[in-house]
Amino acid sequence: MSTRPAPTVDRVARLRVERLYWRAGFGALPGEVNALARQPIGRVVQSLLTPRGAQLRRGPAPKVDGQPIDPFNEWGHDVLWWLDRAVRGRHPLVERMTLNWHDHFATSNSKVSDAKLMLTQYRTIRAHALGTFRGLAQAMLRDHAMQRFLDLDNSHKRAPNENFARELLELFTLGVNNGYTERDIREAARALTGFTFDWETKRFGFDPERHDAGVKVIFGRRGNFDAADVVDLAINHPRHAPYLCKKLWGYFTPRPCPPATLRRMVSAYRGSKTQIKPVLSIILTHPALYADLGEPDQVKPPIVYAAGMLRKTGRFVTFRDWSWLLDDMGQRPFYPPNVNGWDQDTAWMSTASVRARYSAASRIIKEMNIEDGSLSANQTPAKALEAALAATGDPWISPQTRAALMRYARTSVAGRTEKWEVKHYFPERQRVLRHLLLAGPDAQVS
Amino acid sequence: MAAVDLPPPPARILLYAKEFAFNASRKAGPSGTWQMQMRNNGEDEHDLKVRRADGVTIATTPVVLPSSTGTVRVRLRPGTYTLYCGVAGHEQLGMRVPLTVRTPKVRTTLP
Repeated sequence: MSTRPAPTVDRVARLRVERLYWRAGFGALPGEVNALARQPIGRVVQSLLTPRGAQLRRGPAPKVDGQPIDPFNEWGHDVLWWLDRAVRGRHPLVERMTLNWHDHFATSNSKVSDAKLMLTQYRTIRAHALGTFRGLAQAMLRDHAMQRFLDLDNSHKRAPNENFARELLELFTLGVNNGYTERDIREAARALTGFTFDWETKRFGFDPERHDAGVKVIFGRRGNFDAADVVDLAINHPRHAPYLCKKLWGYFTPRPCPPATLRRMVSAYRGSKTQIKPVLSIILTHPALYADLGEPDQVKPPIVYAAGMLRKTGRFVTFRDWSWLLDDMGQRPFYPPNVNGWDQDTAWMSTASVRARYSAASRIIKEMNIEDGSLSANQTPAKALEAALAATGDPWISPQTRAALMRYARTSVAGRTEKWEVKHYFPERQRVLRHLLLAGPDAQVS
Repeated sequence: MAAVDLPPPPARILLYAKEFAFNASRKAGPSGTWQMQMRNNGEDEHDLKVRRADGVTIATTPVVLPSSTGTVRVRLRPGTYTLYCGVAGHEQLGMRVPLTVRTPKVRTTLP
């Protein structure tokens, strides 16, 4: 049971919005929290589900060394491209679901070896992010990056490749050992034959001569099934809807999904013919999402953490280090570790990844240019903390953290009256306060 | 204010290597300085070399380990070049791609 004092009503509304935007986006912009907090949370969720207007807000396009980024022709710039979308995106839930679906339909450029195909896949996922799962899954079947990643691109009827068929059932639609057999996988693989890719011309296609047009038996049903039929059979399988709805729930909260809520999501999903929005609406308005606002319980995924820091500090993608920083944090978009995607939540926290998070915050502090000699000794500890909070987007901090930061704000400059001490230690206090607000324990969770 | 000529940014190309093929991000580009990167997505060591049409190799990356990236900068005149892996036998097995370099159409300037 929590021993922390309950927040005030206004504070609660703000905390609700903050949590929603961290879980369903990449953190609210500092200027929009108060306006959103005045609305009922249901209306805020509705606005996330029905985004309008330009995809990107105003702000400089990403540059490195003064030049625009070049995601196709320079290593690492694809990662910067994704991060920029997260930072400048005006449709937070669409961008966040694009990331979630990228994790679900995990495809890595470490095998695809073509950034153009990967960015095309991003756009395909984004276009279907809040649409129907059937539309998304059928699009993934025809996506060239996916076809190459799971060896669908040259699966011949004489030697059907089972990779896509296996992952379709095991990861994309049903779950491991959940209502299918090895024979179903083999039969599905036969139906998925015929797609082609020519390394010389770089052309993808479909060759009916390579497709197995014979009768297959999948989930006990017989027919001349083709690739699209396999996807539909999997989506219509009775085990599919509970599997997918439960997985979607897990992206937004680490708490177990109540059985009654799962039944409601499944009903909404099936009743709407695999629409994703009704399911998200149930999750994003569920009390479990807003429980214990004073004790955040979900670790921010690295790209959410990084994009959120940039959004909260009013900064944009201006240096290439993000590519390796995200790698070190454990989440390099376009490069999931395997077809199972990334392990979530506490798996993000390791000695090395936390160090990378600290390094990322350091890099942002460096960009803030708080030079020695830039602050006077007149700044009180309270003002120093206030300034640091304002510069970092007024993030949530626990009462214990606030007390510790105030203690540091007092003691770090106590007795520092010499000219050289004032010149160094007062700006240093501001740098450290901001660093702790961006990278301390409270900043890692939402 | 008079127009100031800026040095044009380098043309860039990224090649992904695996056994035994290169996948290049582009096939052609302007003459001038090129930044060439090779990402080794394979399991063996590879490198990236640049050969002119007259058969002379004019640039190379160091040997690039698996899951690593090598970079080389080189000035290219208009013409046809071959980008290939210099590890013994790899070019013959398929690790080569052509690159066409043309006279640039526009010059980058600031007003």
